[in-house]
Amino acid sequence: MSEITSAVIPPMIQDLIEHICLKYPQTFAPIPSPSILTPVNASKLSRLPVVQQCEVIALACDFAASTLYSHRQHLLSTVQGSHNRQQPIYRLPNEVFSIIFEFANAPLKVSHVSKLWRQIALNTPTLWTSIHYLNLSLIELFLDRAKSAPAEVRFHTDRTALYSPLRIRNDYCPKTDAVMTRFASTLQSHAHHLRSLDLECCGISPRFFGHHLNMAMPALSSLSLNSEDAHSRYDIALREMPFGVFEGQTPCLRKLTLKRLCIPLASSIYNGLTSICLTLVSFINSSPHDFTRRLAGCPSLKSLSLNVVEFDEVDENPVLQPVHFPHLKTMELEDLEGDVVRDIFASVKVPVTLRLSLRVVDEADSTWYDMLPQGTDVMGNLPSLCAATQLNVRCELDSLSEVRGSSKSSGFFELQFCGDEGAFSRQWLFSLAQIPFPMLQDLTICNRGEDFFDSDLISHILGHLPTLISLYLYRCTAAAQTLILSPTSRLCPLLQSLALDECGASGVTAIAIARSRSNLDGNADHQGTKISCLRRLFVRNGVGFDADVIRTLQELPIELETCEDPEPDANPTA
Amino acid sequence: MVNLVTSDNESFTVEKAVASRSVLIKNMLEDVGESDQPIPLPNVTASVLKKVLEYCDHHKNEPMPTSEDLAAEDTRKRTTDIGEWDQKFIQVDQEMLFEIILAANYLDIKPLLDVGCKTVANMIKGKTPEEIRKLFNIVNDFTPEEEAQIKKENEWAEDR
Repeated sequence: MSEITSAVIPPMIQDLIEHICLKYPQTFAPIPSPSILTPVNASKLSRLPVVQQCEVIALACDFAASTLYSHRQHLLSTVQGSHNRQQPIYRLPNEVFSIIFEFANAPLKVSHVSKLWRQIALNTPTLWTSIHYLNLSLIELFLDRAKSAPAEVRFHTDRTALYSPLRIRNDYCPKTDAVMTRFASTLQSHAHHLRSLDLECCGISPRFFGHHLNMAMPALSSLSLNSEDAHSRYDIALREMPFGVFEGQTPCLRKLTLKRLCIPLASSIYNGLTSICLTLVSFINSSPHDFTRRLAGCPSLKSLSLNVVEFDEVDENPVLQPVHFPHLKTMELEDLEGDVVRDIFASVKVPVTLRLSLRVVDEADSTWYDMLPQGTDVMGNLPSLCAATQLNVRCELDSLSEVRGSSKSSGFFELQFCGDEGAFSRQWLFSLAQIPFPMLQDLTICNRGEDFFDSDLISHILGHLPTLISLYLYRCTAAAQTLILSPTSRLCPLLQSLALDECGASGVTAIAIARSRSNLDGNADHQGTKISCLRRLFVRNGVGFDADVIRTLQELPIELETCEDPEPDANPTA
Repeated sequence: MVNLVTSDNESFTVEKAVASRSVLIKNMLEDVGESDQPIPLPNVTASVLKKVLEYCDHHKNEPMPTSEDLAAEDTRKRTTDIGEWDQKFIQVDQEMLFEIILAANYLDIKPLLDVGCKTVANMIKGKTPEEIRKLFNIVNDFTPEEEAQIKKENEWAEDR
C-alpha cells in the first residue's frame, strides 16, 4: 500500500500544484519538482480497488494540504522578510546587531525575533558563552553555538534529589548520577573552551562527582565546586575528590572555590592560583603547614579565604621559613580552630598592605595569645597587623566583639569574636595586648554591650599602647578613673585628645585628668619617657558638670567640649 | 580647524580635537597632514553629522579609548549604563537613533556607537520577542521548521 501511495501521490501533488499555479499565476510562482516527484503512470491508480483508491486519494489530499501549507508558510516568510528589510532597524549592519545583542545579553530571546536576528545571533559565538541553565539540551545548544569562544558554565543538579527517598548514606543517587553522566559527556567535547565552571551537586558524593570530571580543561581560569549535601551525608573520605580530577590539567586556573568537598593538596590544581576560597573543607592526612607549603606554588596569590577548614594532622615542628605571599591583598579566616589559625599565621609572611579578617566563635581556649605564632616574629610575619595606626574596638549587645585596625599603607584588619558570655570577649580583648602596635595613634573603644571594661582591662589595653595620641571611649565607666589613678608616664604618655562619651565621668574627675595631663613641665618625665600635654577634652553626658567645673576646666590650657543629651521626655504629650 | 562635507553637500567647520574623536577622520588627517582640503563624508547627512558633532564636542576633552579599554570590552558589554548627558543626547526618534549608530560605526567613534547600541539594547531588555517585533515594526518571518526549533528551545528554557 505504502509503495503504491508513494508512487501515486507525488505526481498528483505535482498536478495539483501546477494546477493551482496556472490558475493563480500572479500569486504563486511555478514550483520546481522535488526530487521525490517521479513521473508515474497515472493509470496505476485506476487499477487499484476502489476502496484503496479512496484511501490513496485521502492521503494525497492530506499530503497536498500540508505541502501547500508549508509552501505557503515559506512564501509568507519571504514576504515578511521583505517587509522587515524595509524597516529602519534593518539598515544596521550585522556587526552592529551583534554589539546590540551582546549588550542586551539575552541570546535566546533575540534569536526568536526574526530570521535575520536569529542568523546574526547564531553567528555571534560570544553571545552564547554565559550558560546558566538547568536543562542539559539548552546547555549543549549554548556550548555548540559558542563554538570556540571562552564559555562560562554554571550548573547544578536537581535539588529535589536531596529530599528523595534515596537520602541515605550512599555514594550516589542514580538520578543524579545519570544527570552528571550526561552533563559530563556534554562538557567533554567543549572542555577546551571552558573559561569558568561553577558546579553545584547533590545526591552524589564528591568522590563520584570528581570521577565525572575526568577531563583536561586547558583554558579554565575559574572553578567553583559545591557538594550541597556532602557534609551531612558522606564521611570525610567520600568528601574528597580524586587526586587526578580534571586529569590534573588546569594550567590556566587562577580562581578556586570549594565548598563542602576537598581536593587533595597533592593535586596540581593548586598551582598558580591567585584566589582561593574554601568553605567546610576537611583535608585528609594534611596539616595547616602542609597547606601553606602547598600554596608556595601560588606565588601570585591575592586572596585567601578559609571558612571552617579542618586538618587532621598537627605540626609539631616549628616553621623554619614562612611562605612569602608578596601579592596577598585579602585574607579571611572564619570559624577555624585556634590551632589552625596559629599554624597559618606562623607559616606565612604577608605584605603590610594586607586586608585581614578573622572571625572566631566561642572556643574555650583560643585568644590572641594562643593564635599568634609563638617564638616567631609577629611583626615580620604579620606586618599589616602591627602597622595599624587606628584601632576601633566595638562590643555589641549580641556578644559580638570586633576590633578593626587600619594603617597608612592601606593595610586593614578586622577581628570578630563572638561568644555567649562577656567573659569570652573580655578574655579576647585582654589578649589584644599580645599584638605589638608600635605605630598606633588613634583608639576608639565603643561599648554597646555588657560593661566589662573595668579598670584592669582598660589599663591593660592602654598600658600596651604607649604611642596613642587620640583616645575615644564610649560607655567605659571605669576609664576616667583609671586615667587618673595611673601615672601619665605609664598610661598613654603621648595622649593629646581624649573623649569620654557616656562614661559617667564626673566634673571632678575631668578636672583631675585635665590638670594631670595639661600642666606637664617638660616633654619627658624623670625616667626619660616622652610626654605630651592633653590638648583636647570632650565629655558627653558627664555627671556634675556645673558652671564652676566648666569654668575651672576652661581656665586650663585645653580645648574643652562638653555636651548633654536632653532627658527623654517621660510624657511626650505633656 | 577641519572642514567636513556631508552627503547632502553641507559643510561643517569644526575644531580638530572635535573631529578627531572619529578615528576615521583622525587617521585621514594624519595621512593627509596639514591641509585645507575638505573631508568628504559620503555616508553621513547634515542632520546626522550635526548630532554626531554635538556628541564629539561634549566629549572632546575625554581620553580616547585605549587598547586596554578595548581588551576590557568583555566586561564592558555586560553593563548598559549610560551617562546622564549621553542619555539626554540619545533621546531621539528611532530613525535618527539608527542613523547616529550608522554614522558612529562609519566614522569609527566607538563610545558613541556603544551609547547607541546600549540604547537599543535597553529598549529590547525585558520585552518578549513579540513586543520587540512590535517596537521595531518587524514581523515574524520564520519558516515552519524554524518555528518548531524555537518552540523546542522555549520549552528547554522553561525547564528550571
